[in-house]
Amino acid sequence: MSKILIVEDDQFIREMYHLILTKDGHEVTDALDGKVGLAMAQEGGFDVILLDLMMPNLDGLGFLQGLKDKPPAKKNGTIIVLSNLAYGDAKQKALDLGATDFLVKADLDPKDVREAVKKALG
Amino acid sequence: MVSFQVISKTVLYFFFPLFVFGLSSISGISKYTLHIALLCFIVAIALSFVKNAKLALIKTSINSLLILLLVGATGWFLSPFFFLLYLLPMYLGFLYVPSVAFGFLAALLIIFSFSVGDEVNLSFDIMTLLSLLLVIPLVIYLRKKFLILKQTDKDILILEEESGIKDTDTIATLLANRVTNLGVTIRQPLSFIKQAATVLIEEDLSPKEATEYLKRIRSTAAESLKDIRDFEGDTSANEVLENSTTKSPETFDFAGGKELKKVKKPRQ
Repeated sequence: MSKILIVEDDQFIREMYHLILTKDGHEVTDALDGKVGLAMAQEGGFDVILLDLMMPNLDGLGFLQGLKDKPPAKKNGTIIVLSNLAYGDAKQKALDLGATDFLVKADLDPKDVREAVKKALG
Repeated sequence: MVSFQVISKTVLYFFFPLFVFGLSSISGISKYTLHIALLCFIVAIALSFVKNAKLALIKTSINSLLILLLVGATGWFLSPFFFLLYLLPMYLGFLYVPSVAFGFLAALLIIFSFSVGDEVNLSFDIMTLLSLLLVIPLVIYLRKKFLILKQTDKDILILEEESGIKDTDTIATLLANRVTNLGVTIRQPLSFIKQAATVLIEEDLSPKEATEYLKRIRSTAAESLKDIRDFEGDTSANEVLENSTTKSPETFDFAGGKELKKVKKPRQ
């Protein structure tokens, strides 16, 4: 069973990804914003982190910076950014800060999220 | 093509000065011109408290009538309020189209042309009429400048939120552009609608879960429409109408009876 962290402030989207990934047999943990998500990620041990960019308290880039500044003792796996901020600047910054992949939410279907997670898990 | 509304307003404001001139020329009524002006003033004040777009023409007509009666009652050419006759066509030209101001000025010129030479002296009266004519190019020029400024104002509005943002804040910098912000704001709920519909079709959901997803789709669609309306309201001069019965998309009842506050994507 893989451990997945969803850092997403939009409740509907968060619960939708939670539902489909739980159905696939993953252990899914939710974080309602970047700050909460960072605290969880800094404890480490997640195989995949699905990260939104625009969030209150701490945005996705702030999350990545925080994780880079203070990496967890127990390493996390792949960080996939899922965002509607579909611009090159945002993508580049996210990749520079340690994200592995950047997916545009508007182009996704639930099966794409599944595939991205599956691919990340190897 | 000239619209019926423009023609009707031009005709209306052409006859206004003629009407008031006629009124102030009738010996039985002329002594009450100032009283009628006072009545118009009271009506204008009362109407200013009524917020109804349909009354706009009536309000402008009452104001115009008030000015004409005031100038007429105090001696037309020699009235201390004569300067208002320069400002009123400018106001009409800005509010409607220049042709309305031209109609108004044409009526004034007709009225005053009958008394050229009788008021002060011939040259002074002719100069006064010419100065009234000068209002026409002035209205065209100022209106043109006004429209350019208005357009520029809209352009500034699109990017106005960019000031005060640090270059290092990538997300805030991107979202500072209102067009980008709208794009992101609309993409978010539409992403959910699309994906939730796919979940409904492809996933094996319980009836309760399916109902919840349908409610969420409806709520999210309503939210998107509101975002578009808000954007239009913020960036254009046009008022977007909304039914008084429109419910807020922020809340709705879940199947379990629990009320949910939808977390809206922040406009950072």
